[in-house]
Amino acid sequence: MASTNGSFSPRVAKIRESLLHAKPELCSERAVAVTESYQETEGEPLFIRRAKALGKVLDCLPIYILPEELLVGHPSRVLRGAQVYPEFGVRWLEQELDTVEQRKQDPFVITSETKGRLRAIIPYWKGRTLDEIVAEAFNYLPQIEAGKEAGVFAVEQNEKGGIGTVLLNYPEILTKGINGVKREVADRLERLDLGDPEYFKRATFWRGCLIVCDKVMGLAQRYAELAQKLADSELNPIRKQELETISNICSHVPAAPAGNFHEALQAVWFLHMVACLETNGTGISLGRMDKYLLPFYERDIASGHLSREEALELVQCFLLKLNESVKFHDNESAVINAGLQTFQNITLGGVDSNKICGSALTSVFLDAIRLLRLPQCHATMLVSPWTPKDMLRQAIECIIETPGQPALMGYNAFIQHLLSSGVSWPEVREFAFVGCVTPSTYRMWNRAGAVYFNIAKALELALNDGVDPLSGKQVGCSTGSPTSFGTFDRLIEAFQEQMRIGVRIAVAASNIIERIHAERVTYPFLSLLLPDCVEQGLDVTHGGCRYNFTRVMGVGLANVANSLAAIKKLVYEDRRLDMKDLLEALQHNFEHDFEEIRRLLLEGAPKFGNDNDYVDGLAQKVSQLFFDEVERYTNIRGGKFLPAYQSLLTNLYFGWKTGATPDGRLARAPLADTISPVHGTDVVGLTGVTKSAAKLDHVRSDGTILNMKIFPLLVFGEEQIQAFADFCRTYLVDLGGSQVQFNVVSGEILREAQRRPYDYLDLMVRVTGYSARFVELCKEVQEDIIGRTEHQHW
Amino acid sequence: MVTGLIFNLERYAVHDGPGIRTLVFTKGCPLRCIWCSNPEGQKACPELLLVKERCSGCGRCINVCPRKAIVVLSGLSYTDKDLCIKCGKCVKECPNQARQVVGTYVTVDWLWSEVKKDVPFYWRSGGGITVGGGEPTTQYEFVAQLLGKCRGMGIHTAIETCGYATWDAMQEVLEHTDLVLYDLKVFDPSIHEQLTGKPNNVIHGNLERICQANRWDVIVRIPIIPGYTDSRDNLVNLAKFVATVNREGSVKKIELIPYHRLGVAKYERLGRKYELQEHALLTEDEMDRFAKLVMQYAGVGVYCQSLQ
Repeated sequence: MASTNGSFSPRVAKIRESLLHAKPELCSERAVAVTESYQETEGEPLFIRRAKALGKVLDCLPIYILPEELLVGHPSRVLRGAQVYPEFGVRWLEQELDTVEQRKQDPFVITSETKGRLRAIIPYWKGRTLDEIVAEAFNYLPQIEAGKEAGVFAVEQNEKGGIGTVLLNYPEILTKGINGVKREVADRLERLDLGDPEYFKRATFWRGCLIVCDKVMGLAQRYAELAQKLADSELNPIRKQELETISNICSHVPAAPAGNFHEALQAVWFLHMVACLETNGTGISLGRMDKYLLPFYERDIASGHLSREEALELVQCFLLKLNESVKFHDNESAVINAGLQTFQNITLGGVDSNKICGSALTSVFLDAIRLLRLPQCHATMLVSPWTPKDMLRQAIECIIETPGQPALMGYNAFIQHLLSSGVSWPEVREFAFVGCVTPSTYRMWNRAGAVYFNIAKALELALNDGVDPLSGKQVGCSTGSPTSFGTFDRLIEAFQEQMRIGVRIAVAASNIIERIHAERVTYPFLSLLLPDCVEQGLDVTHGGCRYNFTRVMGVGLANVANSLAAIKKLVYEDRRLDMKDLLEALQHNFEHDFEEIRRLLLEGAPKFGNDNDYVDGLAQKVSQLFFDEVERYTNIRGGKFLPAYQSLLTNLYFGWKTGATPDGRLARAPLADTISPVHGTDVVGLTGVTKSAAKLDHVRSDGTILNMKIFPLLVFGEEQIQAFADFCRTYLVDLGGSQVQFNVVSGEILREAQRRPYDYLDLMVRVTGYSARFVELCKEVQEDIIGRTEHQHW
Repeated sequence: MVTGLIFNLERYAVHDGPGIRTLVFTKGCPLRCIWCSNPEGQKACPELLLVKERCSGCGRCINVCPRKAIVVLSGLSYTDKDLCIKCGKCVKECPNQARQVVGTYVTVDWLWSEVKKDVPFYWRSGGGITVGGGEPTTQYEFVAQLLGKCRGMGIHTAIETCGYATWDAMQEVLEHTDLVLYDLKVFDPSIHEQLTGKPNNVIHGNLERICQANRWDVIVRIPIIPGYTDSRDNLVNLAKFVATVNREGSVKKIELIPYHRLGVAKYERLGRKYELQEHALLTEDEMDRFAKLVMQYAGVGVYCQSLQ
């Protein structure tokens, strides 16, 4: 494999190589610093404590500059090091510390010193972590534990290791500098009305912001000094010059406004790194970099200080930085979030006034992504009616080569969705994505990874009078025995009731988590970069943003649609199957005498993903019921719960917890991901899948992922590439689809990679909503990917 | 309503005409090219096929067969083709989908309902419908109706033909066709007959008439079968022939289609023998050399279709 691709500079090649070979390692610096700070600040106001804790982390962060680097700043003492965030949870850490090197999914290197330091801080955190307090709170509502246990929903993946899913206003710091923002905050603090009933809350919030400002500038200053020291002893005159430039830049940004392209990228990296260190965030978004970096790029190009090649190298250095961050998940979450993902989204090709899409930088970013072939960033590219042909084509070429990046996003669907969610037009115009597919703005915090809901479980409960067949426990409400339903509509009603109660419990759990979050773990730095929070003096977790959403993500839609189609057709219409026999077959997981019934279910009814109105209509119906149930609720920040289809790998997790389903799926087998068809059932090809997908309501959904796997053969040749670009445009522009992403690999290559992982270190695969290194996924996940319908064509 | 016999329908076809297309495979072909990769498209009737790897030898097919045409020997079922009446009962009974029937009778209306599903993709990409096979002119009435219906709705139409048809049949289909994908294989008439079962004079004559009429866009396609069609003489003669008939410029380009082995397993499933000797796949360089050679004499652009 071409892990030594000659098409980037030796500098980039070298950094890339060391990243590819660096093993993920667990680090303790952050955990120790946070613990010490918490111990020192016992009894101080929350906002101050949090600010001081982050400050201590930044003060204690080991700093170093590698010989090739143009952009500096490392989030941990080793490349691909993962920090630990004890304030979120230590219970699992204690249990898993000894097994973390051997675990199947995402093993980590850990030195005995690190292990010792981490063990030493665990006692302090007992009973003080978010995880434990949430668990304690859940005791008040036993249904939550029961629902989680049975796999009706999952709520705390992110909370165990921090949250994120936020679009930060980096461009504001590029123009004002941290000093500028600091002055504004200080000014607000000074002008704060003593009569304000929330005086204390606001004052401590702003004071926290001020502390954080100083500490971030302090970190940059340390790097400036280090670079100068290295420059002084550097013998190579070229490198000496580079180090002096780095020193200058770091003494300048992010404190002051960025003066050129290089400074802007360095500033963004400092801010982004600190944001990650504060939250352990999944999905801290970089926003529309091809827009806000453009003024710097144009100015430097015009003045002759920068060439496109130099800009490309800098952007590549930046993207390499993004791959240094590694997220450490507990064992269970590691499977759901497989591949050490951090979902650092860059949105390309956004639409501006005069319907201009993207900029000269769009193509620089696409080139950088195409050449690097690394899992980060998480690139998304907007496709609008005005997207130029060349730009889309370049994106397609990037997709084929990386393979899989960027994901393509339908501009129209998201614009309509945001407007109908109450976001005002000026904000909507500036939207960018966070995580995989969540649209956001600088005035929004959307808790995007909040709830995953197993739609297939709701059907299973409806078919079992509310009893979870795998555990035998009453998890849902009693909706009667299906043999007594008599009509298909009655079954739908029972399904709806089960979904209603399931979503309601999940919502309660989510709101408990949010409440405790707001009380225990706030985010001074994130809030500093969100204009509404700064204005109001309110932390992001306290509803500081203007728009506050919480997402509930549906999983298993295709299984439910297929199941309902089979029941409707075979049981109620054709009467080829008795409900009683069906239930018995499900109970026995189609074993022995029930194979026949499974065959009938598999072959005797249409399947979602083939542009068949009968089953697609049921998918629409199920989707609409799911949306109805989710949209009823409000979160503690006063924002709406929004439905979405984005499963990550919860389709595997929920699959393990779900018995046999009437679509012929065996017990504990994976569920269909996002809105993708069930593996192997989409037989009419790409257009059929997208036609089915487009029948769902993409405007009500807060992001709808469609995973498709294609073989390179299909996009080999000029005309084929153009046809493929037209295909994507049809789905995203003409049919109103919201997102599509591709796996461009052959099953053969994947098998080979399983056999010889070291020869395939740079093989990247999209796993439900993101790219990851294939060889870093565990066997089950690998099998899942191979199993996805391969649209072979000859 | 006229019905037609098809053996496949493929959406998102991007190798058979411009844009995104729906490809209809008609069943029945006058030629028997020894390299044919769609042997199930040759006979003009439904056929039974057996996927051996799937057959468990359970023998359930034996019990349902009204003609007692099936036996199971050492774990594999066999069908006596002379006794079999293609009733399809064994196909329904087979628990492993090892037994399949290839070939379905469909109406123009049904096909239209399938074709129209991808209209947004045709419009965006300049695609449409391509009828291939098999040989579409063997069912000229049906194909003409189908293409007429599509073109009436503003959809671009194409056929993929071996050229072996009466001019009347050809004309009837061409009446509703925008683009003709026309296969040429071997220039020498006797070798052509030897390899395909039919001489090529009709084929060459039809191409000449199509080119003379200058009403259709034509893409000539030449399969590159190592040891059969890839000799310098053959390619040069075919190229020269194209240059001679293409006085009006109807032939827009020539596509060279590399030999592949994807059809080999189908022969076994049909209970037939694959006569062609296995040969290594052609490299990109080899294809490029053929393309350059043909280009020299044909006077039109020559392109290679993607290699597997």
